[in-house]
Amino acid sequence: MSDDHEHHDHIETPAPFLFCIATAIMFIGLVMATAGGEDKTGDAGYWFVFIIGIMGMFTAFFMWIQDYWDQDSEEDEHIETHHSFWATISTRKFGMWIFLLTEVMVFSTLLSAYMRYRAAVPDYSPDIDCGLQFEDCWVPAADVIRSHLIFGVINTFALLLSSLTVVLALYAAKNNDPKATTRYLMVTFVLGAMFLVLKLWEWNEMKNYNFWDEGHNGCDITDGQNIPDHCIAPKYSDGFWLDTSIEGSTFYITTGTHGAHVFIGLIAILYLIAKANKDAYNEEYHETIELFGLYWHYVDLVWVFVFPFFYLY
Amino acid sequence: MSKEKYDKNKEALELSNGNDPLVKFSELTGIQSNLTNYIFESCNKDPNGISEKITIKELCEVADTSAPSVKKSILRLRDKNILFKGEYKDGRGGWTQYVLSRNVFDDMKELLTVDNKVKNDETETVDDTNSEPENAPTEEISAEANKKTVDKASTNKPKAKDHHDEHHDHSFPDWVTFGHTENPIEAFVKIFAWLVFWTILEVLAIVQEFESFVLNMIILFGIAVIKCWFICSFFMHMKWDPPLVNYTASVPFFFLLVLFLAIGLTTPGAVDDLATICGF
Repeated sequence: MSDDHEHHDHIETPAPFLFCIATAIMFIGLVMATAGGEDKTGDAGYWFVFIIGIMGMFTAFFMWIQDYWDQDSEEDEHIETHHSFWATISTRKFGMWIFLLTEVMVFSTLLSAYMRYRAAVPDYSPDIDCGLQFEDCWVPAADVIRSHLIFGVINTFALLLSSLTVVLALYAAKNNDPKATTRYLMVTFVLGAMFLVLKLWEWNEMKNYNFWDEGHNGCDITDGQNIPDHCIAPKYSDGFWLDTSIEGSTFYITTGTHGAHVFIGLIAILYLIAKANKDAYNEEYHETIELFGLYWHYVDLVWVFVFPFFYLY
Repeated sequence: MSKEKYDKNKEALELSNGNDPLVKFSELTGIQSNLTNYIFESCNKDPNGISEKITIKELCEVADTSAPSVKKSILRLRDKNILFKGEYKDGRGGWTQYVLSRNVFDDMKELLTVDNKVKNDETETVDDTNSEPENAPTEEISAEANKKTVDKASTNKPKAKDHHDEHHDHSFPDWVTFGHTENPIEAFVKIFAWLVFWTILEVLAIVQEFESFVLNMIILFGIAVIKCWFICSFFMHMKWDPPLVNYTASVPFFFLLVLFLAIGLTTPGAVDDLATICGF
């Protein structure tokens, strides 16, 4: 290797840019294929655009991995700064914080939309006219989940614990203990995977009316009756799903977006585990785990708000 | 060329005077310590404190490590305001001139002077300062620095390396860790315990089914904000990060305010009758 100057150390890969473009194409295809066309019921031709986008995402993703995989160490692009304020953290860490900033916007959009709808529709009460099917009142997802709340609580603990294991993985890397780093990352992966499995199971049960079908203690509500003790409103008699009601839409879109973030985090953990297995993280090089940790803690943080919003109230 | 060289080195000198280092030299260990010593040695030869033209290859030999490691360590030193880059040449045969932080440079020079003085007293020789090989006193500084680091490490048991590349100490408030602890891992486990505690409290509060809407909201949002504080401060490291991180993280709050107040709590008819819609 020549005596290149250190600022040549960073990788100049177009992969992140291509990934973003492909993601945009994928979403345009998805939206137009499902809700485009003149009658807004979807234009099947756009599935082609969607598939092109997906293929582009995969291509860019593997390019990205490939570019980093052969590195002896982490890359750390350093931008010249003319004031020490901007040099107090690494460029990558600053970039991650900017990314998290945009992520805050994504979830606050979803949560504020939920609040907007919820504020506009009165909560169920026997004192007001909610309509025969209770269609004019807000019967929250929390009521549907209430009898099986324990799974939501387990998921909460799983995410909190996985945040701790990421921190422990970072400390293990700093202490030059690659085996412990790999082990903690694997525990994080298992906890994240458990979260997703439980969530999918929960969704399935809610969709198929299983949560209150057995052992519902005589909670069958006929049209127009009051709803005592969290029995399920007639409008959910066929299950609680994305298109059942506005409650369903807000619940599944918000928890689904969060679940997608967990899923993406799991892919990132797999990469970290593979790298840690190559002894790539040590006292000097551990920033990637730190940056991933920031993302993972953020996902945890979102759940801290999603849980009371949708599971408790 | 000469003008550019002058400008870049001058700029580095100005930066080295105006920016305090984020860590002390004595807190550096390993590769970063070796590199700083070597660069100090070079800077010390120049009346202005600018190093000679240093190649990555040289630094690799000094630190006995690979080029990527050296480059990474140099970047870390620059992040910590220990080192400032002056004139450089890219590509094959590339080199860089560095300037050390004025504070660090002065500290190291003082150590060198003290060291030489001790040496002179011991050997009772008068005129050996100029003829002394550069490596010897530098090694002494390194030993001195390492001694300090070891001393610090021994008081901060059990993991000195935990403190290695962070800008600040990892002190946790005593009330958070139920008493003083120096072990960050133990402290993080206690943070997790706090989060579990708040979650249980949150669930129990809801199971109680308080009648009051306001009380429910205060409990749910209050506990969520508390949990948020624990995660951000400790797990996300914001308690110890430089202000830049906190400023960056606070930017969305303005937008959150707009979203929740202007959209979340109003309806499309809000412009016609804001008071009624908002429930005032």
